[in-house]
Amino acid sequence: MKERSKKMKRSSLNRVTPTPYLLLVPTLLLFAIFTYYPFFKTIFLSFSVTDKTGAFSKWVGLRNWVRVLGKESFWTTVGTTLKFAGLNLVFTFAIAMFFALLCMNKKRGSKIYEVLYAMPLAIASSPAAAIWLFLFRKESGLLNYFLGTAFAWTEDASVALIATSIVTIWMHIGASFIFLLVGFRNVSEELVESAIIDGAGPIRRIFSVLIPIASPQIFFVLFLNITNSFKAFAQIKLLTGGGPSNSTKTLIFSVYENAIINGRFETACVQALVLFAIIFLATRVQFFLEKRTVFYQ
Amino acid sequence: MKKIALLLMVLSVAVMPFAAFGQAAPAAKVAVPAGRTEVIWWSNFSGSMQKSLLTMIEKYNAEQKKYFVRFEFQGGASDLMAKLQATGQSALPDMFSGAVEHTGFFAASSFCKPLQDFIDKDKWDYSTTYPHLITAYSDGEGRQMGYPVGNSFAGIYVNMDMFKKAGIDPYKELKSLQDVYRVAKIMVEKKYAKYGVAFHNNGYYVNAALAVEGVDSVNAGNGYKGRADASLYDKGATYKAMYSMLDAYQKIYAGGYGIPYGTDCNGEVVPKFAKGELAMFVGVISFHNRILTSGGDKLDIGMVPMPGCSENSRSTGLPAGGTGSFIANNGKPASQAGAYDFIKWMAEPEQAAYWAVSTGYLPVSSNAAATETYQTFMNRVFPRAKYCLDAQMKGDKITKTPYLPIANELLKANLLSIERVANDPKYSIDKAIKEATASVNEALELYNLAN
Amino acid sequence: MTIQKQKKIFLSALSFTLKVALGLLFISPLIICVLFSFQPEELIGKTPPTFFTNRPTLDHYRWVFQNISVLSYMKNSLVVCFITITCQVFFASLAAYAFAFFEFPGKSLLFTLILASMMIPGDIVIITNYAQIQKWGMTDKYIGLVLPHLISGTAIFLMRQCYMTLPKDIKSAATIDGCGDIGFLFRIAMPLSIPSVASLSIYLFILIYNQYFWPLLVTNKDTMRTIQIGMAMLVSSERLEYGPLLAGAATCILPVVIIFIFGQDYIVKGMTAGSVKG
Repeated sequence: MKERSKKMKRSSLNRVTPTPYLLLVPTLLLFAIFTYYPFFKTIFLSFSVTDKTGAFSKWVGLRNWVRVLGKESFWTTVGTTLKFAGLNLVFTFAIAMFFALLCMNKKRGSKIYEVLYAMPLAIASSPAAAIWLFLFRKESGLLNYFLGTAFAWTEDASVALIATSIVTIWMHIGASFIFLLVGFRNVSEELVESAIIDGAGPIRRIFSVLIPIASPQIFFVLFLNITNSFKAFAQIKLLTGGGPSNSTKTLIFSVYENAIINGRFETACVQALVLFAIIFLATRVQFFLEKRTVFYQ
Repeated sequence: MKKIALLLMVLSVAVMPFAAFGQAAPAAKVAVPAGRTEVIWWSNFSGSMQKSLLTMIEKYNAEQKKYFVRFEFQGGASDLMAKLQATGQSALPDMFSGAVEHTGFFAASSFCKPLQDFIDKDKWDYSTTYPHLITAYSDGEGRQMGYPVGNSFAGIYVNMDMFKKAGIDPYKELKSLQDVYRVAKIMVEKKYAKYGVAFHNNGYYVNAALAVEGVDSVNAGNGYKGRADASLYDKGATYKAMYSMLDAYQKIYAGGYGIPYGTDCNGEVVPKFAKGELAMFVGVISFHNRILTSGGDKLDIGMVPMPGCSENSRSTGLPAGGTGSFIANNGKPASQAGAYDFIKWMAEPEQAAYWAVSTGYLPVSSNAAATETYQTFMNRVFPRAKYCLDAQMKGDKITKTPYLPIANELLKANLLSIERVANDPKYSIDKAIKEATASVNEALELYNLAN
Repeated sequence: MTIQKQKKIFLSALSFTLKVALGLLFISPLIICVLFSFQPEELIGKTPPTFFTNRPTLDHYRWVFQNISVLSYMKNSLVVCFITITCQVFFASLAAYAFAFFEFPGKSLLFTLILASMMIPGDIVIITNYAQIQKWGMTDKYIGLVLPHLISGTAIFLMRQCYMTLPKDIKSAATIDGCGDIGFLFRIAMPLSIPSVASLSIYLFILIYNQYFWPLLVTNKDTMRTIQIGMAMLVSSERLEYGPLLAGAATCILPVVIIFIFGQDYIVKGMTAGSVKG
């Protein structure tokens, strides 16, 4: 007992112990080898040309960047990426919001439909793409049947992006829904009741009470959706392969295409870094806006 | 705690019934019998073709005691190629599957060992192999890189009844894509067919059409005489051919004479053809079985060789298509020898005939075609194949697709050029050609810079 | 019962039914997948579609199980998930503990670094990691499959949120009672964080179970492959028939859906811990 209290005294006096660093060793080691080292290698490779095995071959400095950024098709890809992200953001958020509002009040059996609204988040992109591929068929596809349309969803350049968005939105609503739901449920009863007493109708209540109180979640959800839609990959690969006519080629798909299909690592590295920059920017914007407009209790 | 227990219980109950189905042990689960050298084959063959291959492998393993071949599926063609590139030498397999148009790519890579190295020591006589295949699978100096397995034939499936009614002989009239446009127009306008033509969407058909036309895609003798570093799409005769080809595509779709480019072939085009609504389907021989099983066995189907681009088409010989086997450079001579032995075995007439019959590919050699197995099949199911085979034998003027160390960029650039003009009747053909040329040039430039 | 009460009950029942119906509509692709996977192939392609056929067949499932070693793949997927989850939870707890209960120089820098790692798209690190795993001869082994994923920024973030909600007095009280730093971690903090651990586990399970490209690269032998690869083989093949495709998809998503339904509470609690005050 005495030795322990001595030890305690020592550790409470000596605030900076090696303990936290030791605790972080496995984490930092793994990150260093499998995240940071490849990342820096990527930056390095983006200034060079790689040979047929993907290894460094020649240093070309900024020429790579100039070449990649100077291509019209690159900016088309960026545009497609932003369009895709926009579609995903708006619809995922809107539908998730709608579901969250529906489930706002915990009632008996509400768990049943809550599970249903969130379920697609558990579905992997491969089986999801497989199922939607089946639904998207032009001739006897069920989507066309129920909508009465005759679109070649995954083969027509004018709708292919919408098709991939539908699948991505469907898969991502679940996560946003859960976050928003918790945010809304966190609004205290009294606040809502006093709003009702003040004569606020349901719409007023939503905009003046719910949304401000749940604004942390709302912003987190918006941010989550932006980054997710930049990284959405497997469904694009399986549904359209980036086509038709490159209409669904987003930046991440272009990275994959250059790295894996074309064997052009240096180009992939440049594009990946641009993607990283976009995601980073989006994060910064979100943090900035959060400080200005989010209301914390 | 209770919840977790419940969860585990439910899971185990859910999985149990599946065990009742019993598992057919895939070849991978069987251990290598003692005393045999293992031969590992990385391939992208899937579905029913994989099944046929597995059957053949079983037969080979049973027939001899020296080697044991193991088939390992590695995803799609591009996944396989990426994996091969990224794998270190000692981890490479002993043989791998590759498309013929990528022969140049394999030759330039570090993971492929030329088949010629083995042929030289062995003096294998494979002279009855169709000449255009021999050339297509060899490098610029005539050294054999690999050997064909799936002999794909690019051409036009035609509905003979429609052509008879229209009074057109497809074998005489369809010499170029411009002809295809002309005939498609007639078919639709005179109501012989609901749809004039459909295309299998792949950049390979650009290579093929240019090859039939008789023009080079890139400089340096189409890549066979030294390092190619520039695309010829925007120059001279090749430019004229590209223009004519893209113009034909554009006019077909602008006039609405074709099924939209990019439509799923197996799911929609084949059924339409089988139902007798489609006059022409530009595709490869592997669609044949599918057409037959979709009800097309009641149709009189013709198979016209791949057309060229314009009226200047020299229509000499046939471009080679399909997939072959290559030996990997993994520094293991014993298992490489096994791979070579297996490749030779698959090329034997009876084996090659079995493969052709079960998959719908054409046989790779005239010996294989002459076997009773294949002849019975052909006479019963696809008599017109005779025409294709004869055409293949006449290949003394070998038509060549480009020999390049870059693979997918070329195909993608080609495909994109067609997509651009097919989807937009107002898209400038010159612009499409310029885009394709720039893409190919850039890819070549980067490759040459780095290697 | 008053008319008012009756009306209320009716409206509430109606609202419930509508919400459930909407939910079913929302997951209709999954329902369709399961229903159609039991139909004979000729019926699947036909319009108008039959939902409940009187000729259900297990043919497609039989085909899937005979041609794709589903049990072997599932076993591999589950083993990989188990190893990854255990390690991530453990390492993340250590790291989160450090960030939540200690002050040390470089703390915010390190944390930012870890956050930044979450923004690096996986595809650009995957090839280098594959080359590394190859160099160490770890292909076709479980260690190769799991090594790069034994820790993640998400895990650390989640666990840190959890630990930050533990009142600091607990630590001081424990210290006074004679508990060392490590003792506190293992005997008090970790047990208290079980809800977060549970939800992190489920979240990670979904993530790892659904991996495709990494297992494809690292495994060559069929015996080591995971379930998503088997699934993708069905999709990328000739796409001639949809029956096996749907049966394969249904098989693939079954374990995850089950875990999700049962674990939904935990997922909700864990995903949102710390993002809500109080």
